[in-house]
Amino acid sequence: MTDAAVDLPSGRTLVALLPVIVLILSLISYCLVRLWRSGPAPYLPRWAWTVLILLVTPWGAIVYLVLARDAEAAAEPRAAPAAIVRTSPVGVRDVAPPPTAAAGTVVSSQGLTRDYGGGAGLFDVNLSVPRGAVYGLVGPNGAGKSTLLSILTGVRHTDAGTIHTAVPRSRIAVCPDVPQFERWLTAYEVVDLARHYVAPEAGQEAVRGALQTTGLADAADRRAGGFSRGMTQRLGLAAALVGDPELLLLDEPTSALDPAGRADILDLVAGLRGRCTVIFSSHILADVQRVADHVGVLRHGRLLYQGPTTALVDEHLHPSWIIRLATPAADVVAKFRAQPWTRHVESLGPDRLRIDADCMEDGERGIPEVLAACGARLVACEPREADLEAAFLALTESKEARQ
Amino acid sequence: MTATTTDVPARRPPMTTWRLEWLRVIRGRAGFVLLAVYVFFGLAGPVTARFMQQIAKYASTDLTIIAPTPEPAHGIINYVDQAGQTGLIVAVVVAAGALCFDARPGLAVFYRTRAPGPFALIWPRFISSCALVALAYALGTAVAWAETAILIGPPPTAAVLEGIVLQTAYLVFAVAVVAFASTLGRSALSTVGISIAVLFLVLPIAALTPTVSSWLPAKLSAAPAALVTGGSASGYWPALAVSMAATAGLLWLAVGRARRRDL
Repeated sequence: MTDAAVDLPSGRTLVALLPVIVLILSLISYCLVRLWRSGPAPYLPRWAWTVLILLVTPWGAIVYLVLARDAEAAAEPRAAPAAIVRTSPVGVRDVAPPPTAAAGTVVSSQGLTRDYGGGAGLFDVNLSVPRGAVYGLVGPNGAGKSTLLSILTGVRHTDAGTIHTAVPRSRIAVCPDVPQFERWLTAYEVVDLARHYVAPEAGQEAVRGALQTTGLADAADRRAGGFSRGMTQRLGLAAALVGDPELLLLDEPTSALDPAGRADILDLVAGLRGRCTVIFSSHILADVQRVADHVGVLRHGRLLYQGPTTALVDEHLHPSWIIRLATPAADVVAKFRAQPWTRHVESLGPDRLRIDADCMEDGERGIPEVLAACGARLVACEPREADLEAAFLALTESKEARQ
Repeated sequence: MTATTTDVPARRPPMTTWRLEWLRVIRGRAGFVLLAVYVFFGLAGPVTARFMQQIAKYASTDLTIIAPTPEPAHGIINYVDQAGQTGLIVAVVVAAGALCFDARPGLAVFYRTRAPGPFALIWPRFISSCALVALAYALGTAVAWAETAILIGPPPTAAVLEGIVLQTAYLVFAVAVVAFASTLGRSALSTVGISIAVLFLVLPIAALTPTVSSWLPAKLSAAPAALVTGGSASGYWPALAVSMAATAGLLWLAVGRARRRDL
């Protein structure tokens, strides 16, 4: 083995090399400090990253920095958001009267169709949303709610049909079911960016107001990448509200929220009635019933019903009672089923049963008669509250039966 | 439910699309990675040129490798060779990160339902990506020039500056390729894949045809090395013209495709 004569750098050469050495040493030091002071290392254990950073210079350090970015953003602390500030201190149903026909239509469509093939999509939808209404779009997953909202917002094209929107595009705001933002922007910057796009004339007061309204004032300076799903949803709502929209489209706005957060958002939506038209989709019928004065029922891409929420419940919900007896319920079930006015009789336990009648009068007259005829001893007879879920099921069952 | 009394902090710089791009660079870190890559090669290129003989001795004791006596041009050539490919790949990744605004559906809805149109989204991202890439390349070249001047001797400054201009034109074309690719693929990964395939496969293969090679934008990438060894800049005018026209065409196509694309 022979010795190789090597001219080691010295003097001016050493000075010239100094930046390279400093740069590499700084990068390695920074990465090592960050590796051992921050949370868990991405993909590999810390010792493995240490070896990589030291031996594969500078690529190991660069790869570590790139991969650590996402891990660090995900590990940011998550605080619970503040309560939403209500825009008006009133109840849900009494914010403003439901819109009348004279108020006009904000969104209407004729024969709206988007066929994805295999029966999926949207077919011949004739939508009519009154101005100032809170319009709930309900239906099971895959019914076409998101497709319809995407078409209304203009981010998806139709195969056929027309849409008329009586609102300029800049006054339409959208909040998707899973809002996403640049992870490195703060909540304030996200809302301010939305303001810049849709309402550049509005001042920073509008941004502060939107954050305050959605309960994010405390989190204004926190980066969106560290937000929980519920806070991100609130941020999406703030970004939608900052431009004071005339038409607000919300896709499943409460899907990621806890019960308190859901109630806050629903109150907020209800508070917008009369000031702005809201179309919001949800598969949580209780939410829709709580705030929507108009409802559209979608199933398999077709609009089965559209009109006032109360009319849906009145027209498609059969009166129902829960009866509790001191004697066995089984003794009277057969007798009730034999009655021509009963639609459905169900035993709920040894002493309870549910009876659905054709109409309120038949039930109120018939139930006591049958119980008396059977000699049953009545403990309680409570009419079931008419809810949208039951109406929805009744509506979809009757439509399917007809088909 | 109680109303919060917390106030959102007072005045701060208003957001604009340009501020958004500035924040993307300084907070997204991708910009720093790009700068670091070019600066690193700006430092490493001249060093390897200066110590090539010693490195060759280290590399093998059995073989005799004759390395040329280092000249000032070698420092710049080494920088261009090393940064040309790695730097371009990193530049493509950085540009794709900015231009793929349709990659995340929720983010795409945020931008597309608010911006007046796709041009308003693509243009600031394109300009900021070009500026960043050009700055990184120029900075790397400046470092390479200084390092070469100290280690070997001053390289021809005018030729180096001409090389920066021509290489920047090629990098801008590369960013336009990324902008167009982002409307073909939806994810950043597919955009990077398509862009790299065009820049590292399609264009070099097309350059094998002698009649078109001098017109292709890829020719510009060889300009900085050729110019410091006595080449003339006039031989690159056709490629420069095609590169600028292709950049404009690719942007026009990108805007058109983005406008027609469904989310």
